[in-house]
Order: sequence, then C-alpha cells, then structure tokens
Amino acid sequence: MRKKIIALLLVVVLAVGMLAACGAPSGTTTPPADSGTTTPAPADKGNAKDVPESIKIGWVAPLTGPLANQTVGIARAIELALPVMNADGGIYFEAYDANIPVEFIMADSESNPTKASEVATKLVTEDKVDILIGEYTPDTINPVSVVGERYKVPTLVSNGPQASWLSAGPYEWSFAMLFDNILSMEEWFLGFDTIETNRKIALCLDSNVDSVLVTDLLKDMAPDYGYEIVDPGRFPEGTTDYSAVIAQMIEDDADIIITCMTTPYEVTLWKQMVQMGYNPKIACFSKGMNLSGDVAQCGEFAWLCCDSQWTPEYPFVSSLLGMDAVELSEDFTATTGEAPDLTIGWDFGMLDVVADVLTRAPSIDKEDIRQAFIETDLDTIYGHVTFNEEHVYTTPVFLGQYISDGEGGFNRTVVNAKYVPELTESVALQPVPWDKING
Amino acid sequence: MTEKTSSRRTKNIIKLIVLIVVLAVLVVIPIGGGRIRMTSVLILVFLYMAIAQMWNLLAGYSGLVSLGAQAFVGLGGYSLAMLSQVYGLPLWTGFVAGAVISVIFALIISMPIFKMKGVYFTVGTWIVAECLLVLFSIWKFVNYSAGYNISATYKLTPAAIYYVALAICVGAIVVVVLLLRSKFGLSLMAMRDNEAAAEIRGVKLYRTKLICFLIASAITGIAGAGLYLNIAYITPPSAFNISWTVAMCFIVVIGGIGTVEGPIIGAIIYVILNQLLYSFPGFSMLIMGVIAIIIIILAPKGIMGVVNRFFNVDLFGIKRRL
Repeated sequence: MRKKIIALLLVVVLAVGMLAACGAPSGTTTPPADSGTTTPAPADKGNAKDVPESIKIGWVAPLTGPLANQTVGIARAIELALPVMNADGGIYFEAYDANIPVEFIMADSESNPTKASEVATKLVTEDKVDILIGEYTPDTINPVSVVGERYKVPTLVSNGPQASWLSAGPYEWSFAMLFDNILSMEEWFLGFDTIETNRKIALCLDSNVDSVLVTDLLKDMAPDYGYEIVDPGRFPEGTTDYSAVIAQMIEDDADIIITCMTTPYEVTLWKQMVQMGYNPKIACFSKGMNLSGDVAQCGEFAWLCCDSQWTPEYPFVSSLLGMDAVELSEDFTATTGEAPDLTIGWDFGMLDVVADVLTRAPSIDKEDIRQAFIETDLDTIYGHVTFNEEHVYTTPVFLGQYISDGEGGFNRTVVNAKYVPELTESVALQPVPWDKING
Repeated sequence: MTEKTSSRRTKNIIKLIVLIVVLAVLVVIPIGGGRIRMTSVLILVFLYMAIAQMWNLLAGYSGLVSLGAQAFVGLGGYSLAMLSQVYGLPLWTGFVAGAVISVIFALIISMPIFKMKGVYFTVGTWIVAECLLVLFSIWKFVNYSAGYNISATYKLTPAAIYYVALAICVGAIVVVVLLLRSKFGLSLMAMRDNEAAAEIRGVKLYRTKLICFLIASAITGIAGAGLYLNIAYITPPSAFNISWTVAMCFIVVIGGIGTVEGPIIGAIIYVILNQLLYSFPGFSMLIMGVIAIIIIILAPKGIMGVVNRFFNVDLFGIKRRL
C-alpha cells in the first residue's frame, strides 16, 4: 500500500512538473547576478505598456560533450558584456524612448543536432528570445539557423565552415560569421611551401562534415599548388586505431600529414604516429588543436600547425568593451586559467555585433533587428564585420604553429597570414623536431 | 446479460466521444498561429509517441526487445533528406520512401536476426543499427558524416509540421489498436506470454513476428522522416544514435509496457521532462535515469500498471474478456 501511495505521489509530482513546463518561464542558465543579469527596470521615459521588460538573447552552444572545452569562455564573455550593455539601464530604443535591459539565456546543444534543434525551439517559443545565437560546428549552428528561419527570429551563428551552412541557403533571418575553408587551404599550402618536402600530403580524415569538406577541397586545390594527395580513405568518426592509416602513410612516404578531428582523436593519432615511427616534416592538425593545452597532451615537441581564426596579436578592438585583443586575452587567462585561444574572437565578435545591432535597431521588432543585421558595418574584435548577400561575414584566417617555450608551455606563432594584412608573420613554419621527440 | 451488453456499449460510446473531443482539441490547437509553445512541444510528443508505440508493439506485445529501432529512424530521416535535398522531390515522397526502405531493410535483416532469441535478438538489432551508422559515415552517396541540411523544411510553418506529426501519431495508434483487436493481436499476445504454448495452439511464430516487425519498421521509418522534418539537419551520428531507442524504452517503461495508453502517457512525460531538464545541462540524462529507476522499482508495470490497479483503464478496448 505504501508503495502505491509513493508511486501515486510520483505521478502527481510528474503531472505538476508537466503543467509547470507548459507555463513556467525557462530556468536556463543565465550569467551570475553580479554581471548585470538582474537587470534594472527600464527607464520610464515612454509608455510603460509598450516598453518591453527586457531584450532576451538565447545562446545555444555545446556546453557539454566533446566540444565543451571550446565553450569555457562564453560565461566570462557575457559576464564582461552585460554590465556594459546595461550600463544606463539597458540599450536605448527610439520606438519606446526608453532603455531596455539585456538578458542572456544559455542553452546546451551537447554537440547534438537533435538537442540543438529542441533547445533552440524552446528558446524561441517559451523564452520568447528576440535574438538567437548559435556557436560551434554545423551540429549546432545548422539546426539553430533552421529554428531562426522557421520562427522568423533574427539569428547569428559563428564558428563553422561556410560551405556546410550555405548549402541550405538562401537565409532570410540568419546571419553568420564563418570561416572559408578555401582560404584556410591556401594558407596551408603557402605555409607548406616554406619547408623543403617531397610535396606528398597524406590525409588522415574521418567522415565528419569538416573532414569531408577538407578532403574535397584539398583534392581540387593540391595539384594547382604542386602537391600530391595520398588518401587512404574516410573512416568512421570515433575511430581510435589509426595503425592501418599510418602504415599506409609510411608506405607512401608522405612528408606532410593533414587531419581534422576533435581533440581526443588527434591526440591519439599523434601518439600512434610516434609509436609507429611515422615522422612527417609537417603535421597540420586542424580543428582539434585550438588550445595550447590540447597540444600539450601531445608532448613538448609536437610542433603542430593548424589554421587559426583568432590570435591576441590581432590589432582589433572590441567595439562593445573598448578592450583590445591583448587585454581580452589576459582577462581570459586570469579568469579561466587557460592560455588565450581563438574562442575569444568568436565569443566577443558576436557580442560586438549583437550589441551594435541592438543599438541601431529602432525597436526590438524582429524585422527591425533583421534590418539592422543587414546594415552591419562595424569594427569588432574580429575585424571589420559586414554581411554579404548570403548573410555571411568571412572571418580572417591564418596558419599558426605551436612552438614550445621551453617552460612546458607553447607559443602559437603566426607563420602565414596572406589574407590578414593586419598580422605580422613572426616566424617561418618549423619542421617537427623528430630528433628531439624520438631521442 | 442484456444490461451488461448495454452498459458496455454505453461505455464504448463515451470512450469514442472522449477520443473524438481530444482529437478535435488537438486539431484546433495550432489554428491562428497562437499557442506556439504548445504546438512545438506537441510536435515532439506526437513523434515520440509514434516511435514508442512501435517499440511497445515489438517489446510489449511480441516479446521482441529491440535496441536497434534507431536504424529505422535514421532510414526514414535519410529518405526524406536524400529525396528532397539531393533529388528535389516533394517532401511527402520522403515519407513513402522512408516506409518502403525501412520495410525492405527489416525484411533483409529479419532472416539472420529472427534466428536469435531473447538477449541475443536485442544485441543483434543493436549491432545492425551500429553497422548502419558506420556504413552511412563512410558512404559517399549519403555525403559521409557531413549529412544534409533539409532546406525544403525551412519554410514549413510549425502548424504544418504539427499536423504531419499528429497524423503520424494517430496513424500509429490506430494501426496498433486495429492490430491488437484483431485475431493477429491475440496471436501476438499469446506469443508474448508463452511462445511454446502459442505455437502448439497454432500461432505461426516466425510469420507473426515478421509481420509485426515489418509494421513497426515501416511506421518508425515514417516517424523518423517526421522527426527530421522538424530537425531539418541530419548526420549519421544523430540519425542512428541509440538515444532514439533509449527514449522509446524510457517512454514505454515509465508509461507502462504492453499497454497502448502507456506510450501515450510516457511520451508526454518524457518530452516535458526533457523540456524542464534543459535547464540542467549535463545532468539531464542523469536525472532522467534516476526517475526511470525510481519508477521501475516502485511501479514495475509503469504508470499505467498503477492506474490499472485502481481503475482498470482500457481506453482502446484492447483487453480480452474470458
């Protein structure tokens, strides 16, 4: 009998929970109270009935899952941005003649498109966000853009390959700050040219969206740059035994290896390369080696190179915070304990754009915000942002290399930056020091 | 006797009226573009309800506990994506192809799979689904793991998707109810309770299982297309993810296995719990697991098991009287 009562109580609790879910506002993560989320009431200049209580910005990112290490800076970015955005009680809107406070609502995509779609839908339909943000890889940014288009909500996404996002265009409500793989490849080839090799490039690429794009582009572009591609073929994501691929690369005697997987798999690949004695002169590990901590897992002399989208060396300044790249990087290191990484550029670049859009939009009407996105023309921490006809801003990209600093850390050097005139190429690309690794 | 028959008829009429009213309310919900939140949540409820009904049909009525139902979700989703995105065909063709391809695939795998029993069948279905995941990840024809944006769905209104999901859900329930009310349904339940005894009484085990498996595969394929009509971006790791089957299992277990009402209640709870748990990134699966364990311990037959102890609910007239 007691069990029955407990079970019935459980049913009642679940029923109450269901009712709460249908009606209650979301409790999704918001920044700490002292960051400005507990926003001041709007300045009562206009008719209170017409003045929105707040501007809601929904931010979908992989806060957990295999890409979680790349979203560690988002909380700090919001923590810095909110007090500035809400300094005078919020952002001024002409339509209300009032300042409206800004509020961020975070949601976790778990690097899963299904989850990304569901949480983005929840942000739009339940939390009634005015702007939707999606960040990190097609698994998150593509479903978030779908929700933006379907529910006609202005959406800004970043950090992903343009080709994948554009394959579903044209977009009406979604805007993107994405990298162009072709530019990345060109930076690679120009960097490779600085070292004498047999001009054979071995591909160690799984079947992920980034790898597929990279494969197709490399095969198209390599002959133009005088390189030969050695391709053992795609293998499933999550593969942890690369011995067959490495054996093939040894047999083909390729001086250059290119891979594009997430961090744990690239670390595993590197360790198996060392074990099997595959010693290419250049190791281009894209995607997984965005943080110097990631490279450190491969060892002191894993002088890997990769395409990089942001560096503290950029001469850009955040339009929202007035802080330059070095200042933001120092703050990032002080608060997260991590070396500065490119996610600073993504996070603050989007915040710069969103703050600017809201400042220019006459009201928080969706069409006004959309129009403000279209008219964006702004210097940000990520360069000068304008959106083209396809609603894309191409983020700058350069070839960087991690060189150990002799104290257990790494310096990411700029080795080729043809498309970023603001950057100085500090050193030439260095061959991987296999004598030190093997010795 | 006449009074009993009359009373039963009255009850049936009342049930029918209730079902019609519920359906009418559901049809009205998205009209006018309002209730957008409810519309978006109900889309998920309907689609999860449909796939859970099919898993329940297999596990709850036929004794075929499958861990590979995600194979058919993926096949349905990819049918929709390929036909609409690659070949530019209308979206509805994806649903038809989803059902047809799922049935063909089910027919092919049934030959080796049905030679396995119990836990071997369960593991076997899981392996088949994992093989599909690997195959799609390295198959150029389906664009490897890069998958597809299903851009034809971008302009669909939430109301349009809602009605598609509702139709799939109602269709799935109607199929299950008609099946269980038929002689075939009796064979299924006899087989579930005791295969040997059922076979002695004339039930053709292989044929019965196969028909049930094919029906479940077809409808799961259609529901898979419905799910990706809503998500609009498909990749092998998400389409063939075991989390689909975990969701079906959760829904059926907490709702009540071997009942038609169980997956209905389970799907409502599952989707709404998920919505609430989005506030706890990283902990949502943990919390869901704890809830499932508590319900399994306290009410092994699920919520419908508890409800039936007090009210003996038979909304769809499935139960047989001796």
